[in-house]
Amino acid sequence: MVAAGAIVVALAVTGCTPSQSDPPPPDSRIDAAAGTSLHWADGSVVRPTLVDLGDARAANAGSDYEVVVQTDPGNPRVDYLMPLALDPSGALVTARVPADQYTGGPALLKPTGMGSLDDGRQLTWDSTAALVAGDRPRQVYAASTDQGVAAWAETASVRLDVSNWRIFTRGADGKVALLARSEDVFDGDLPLVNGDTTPVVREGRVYWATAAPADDSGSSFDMRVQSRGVDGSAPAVTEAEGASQPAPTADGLFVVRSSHDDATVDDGTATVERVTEPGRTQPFVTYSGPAGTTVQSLVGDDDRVAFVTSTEGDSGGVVYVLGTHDQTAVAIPLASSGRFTSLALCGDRLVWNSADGSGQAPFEPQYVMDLETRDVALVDVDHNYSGSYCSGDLVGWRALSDDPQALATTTITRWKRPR
Amino acid sequence: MTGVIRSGPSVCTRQSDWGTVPTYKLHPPTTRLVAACGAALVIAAATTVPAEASEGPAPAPIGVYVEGPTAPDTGGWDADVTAPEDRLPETPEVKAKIRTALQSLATTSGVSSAVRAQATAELAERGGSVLTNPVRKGAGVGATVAAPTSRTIGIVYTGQQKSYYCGPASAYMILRQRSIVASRDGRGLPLTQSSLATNFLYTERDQETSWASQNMANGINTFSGWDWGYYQAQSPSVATVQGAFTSTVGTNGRLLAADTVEFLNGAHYNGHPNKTIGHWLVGYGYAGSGATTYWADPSTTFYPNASQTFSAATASFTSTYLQTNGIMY
Repeated sequence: MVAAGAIVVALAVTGCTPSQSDPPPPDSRIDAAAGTSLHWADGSVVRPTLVDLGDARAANAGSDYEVVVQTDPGNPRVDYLMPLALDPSGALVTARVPADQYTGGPALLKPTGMGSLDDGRQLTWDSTAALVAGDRPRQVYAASTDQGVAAWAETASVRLDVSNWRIFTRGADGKVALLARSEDVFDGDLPLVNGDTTPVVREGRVYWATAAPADDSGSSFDMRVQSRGVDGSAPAVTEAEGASQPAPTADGLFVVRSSHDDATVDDGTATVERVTEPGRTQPFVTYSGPAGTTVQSLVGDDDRVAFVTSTEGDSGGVVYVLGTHDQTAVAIPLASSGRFTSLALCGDRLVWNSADGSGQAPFEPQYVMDLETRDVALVDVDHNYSGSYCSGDLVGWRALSDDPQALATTTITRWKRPR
Repeated sequence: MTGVIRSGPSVCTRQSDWGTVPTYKLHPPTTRLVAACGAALVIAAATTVPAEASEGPAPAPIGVYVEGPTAPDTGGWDADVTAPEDRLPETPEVKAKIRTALQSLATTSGVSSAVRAQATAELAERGGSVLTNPVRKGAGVGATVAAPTSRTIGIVYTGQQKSYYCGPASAYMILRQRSIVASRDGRGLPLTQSSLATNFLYTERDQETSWASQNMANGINTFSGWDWGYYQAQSPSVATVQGAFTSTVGTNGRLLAADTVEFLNGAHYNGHPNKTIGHWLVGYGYAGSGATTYWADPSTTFYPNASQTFSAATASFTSTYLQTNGIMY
């Protein structure tokens, strides 16, 4: 399945790709074919081992994995559970969305509850309703869990463009607390410059990215990565200005700096950076290409980071998995028709799909890759839906159905190691 | 080990610098958005309609100034949140509009027999019947005009100037396409998003363009001097939406709007995030006798992950996103 630098890969990238008259050397084929380049901080070219998804094998239920949990599809007219994060034990952090939470008006009518689903048992956590005075009912849209601690984000906004986000935590002791809110950075409608604020919790600390005023006028905004300890004993810290996509690893915190995060960055350039101390970063790798190319979906675990390079307007892209201290690199060109790819990384396993939120893509399987053996398996998920779960030996995905009013089901599976 | 779910942004994003944002003419997008980013953003409007169906000259592109952020929402948790006046009543005028849409669909060129039968059946349920001899435009007073199989109207894409201006931006595109640049209500107010939001749609007062208020349709009608009557149809059928496109876009050469609702953990369109969202859009074209529809999404000035335009299968789009609120045509 894998041959370092020797596989001819049919990239899905078209249109923005400059024509190539002569075939490039094998080890730079991926960069040249896409009209882009990826360099380590010392200026050397990243020379990845290529993985051809054309060689991916179909995974089999039973021999490769077994289904552990599958949620009901739900419907906005009834209460439903929405899994948001996965613990290695198999416990799910879930949002309980009440029936008719939103009926098309100016605001949500009912608050979302939080809890867990563990071995069929549902546990309801303390309400966050009263933790921010004056708030309207909020929706929960993202969560993360690690070592028994959960962090999640809520917003009262039903708009595409602004969010009064709040981050709450539930510690191992079961206590629910407010950790941060958008008013901490801007007292007004906070624009969504590069996605809504999504928490990532690791070893007792919560990381997130938020839009923040670029100057005192409050008329322009850049992105900013912040963090705070779960116990709330110290104020939030700004880890990096003009950056987003925090990805904590055993080798420290990594972030992305792109034109979406920092108006001074040239379009078509993005840097994955390591935070050396709060407010200070150093480049890890630099990606460049035509206007519109960028880095997205940065995730990290142990001594690896993974991300997707893509070009606005193009389908596909390339998934990179890089060692954080040994300059190892794996590249997986995507032949997907999808416009963005969701990644999850846990230990030696990388999980992704390129399905979008419509659930209408004709074939967007869930990929599961063992990074040690480079074995890539795919699960053909009908109506696959954006989002990937990975924790321990557990892998999850979401899917819609033919029912246009039905909500997504979540399937959690336990995977066996490839022989 | 950490469980993390993260999705990256989608394509054709455009960094909002909160300064002057150009506007662009549009063409119908392909369902697979490949190789679009490197192309010029100023794109001539494509049309598949006969020359006689074309409307007046397309307005010149204009600049859009993106204003700064506005005051946050306020209000108590329980005290200020009341259910909206839910579903709109089907007034006689709305019933007539629905019959017009169904009539149009039943007589649109190239429509399948199954769709025609559906439109005819719904029309019969509403006490109408299909005129059997539709004629081309210009055939005389009272004649029914058969809509073309496909049509796309050239519009000046306009992103919303404020975060809650998806309604005013949509209304602006609709009126601008008709070259109505000043209100015809005796006040002569200029066509700007701000003016629409303040004086016609009451978006500034309400901090949103609510579906239930019907301020969208009433505001456009007032601004245009009731040059034509827009109405809001609650939870339309697929046939009604198809017919709204064939009659409004295909026959009359006008734009329409939709107030969509996307639910958390449900389907989302045009790269929108997985949250519960209410949002106004403009419909500017269709193909396949309305089976495919083309939409302009004004959110890109504030939500750069969306594309300015996208296409959708009308049946699934209607069933998924238009059943909580509906369409205005």
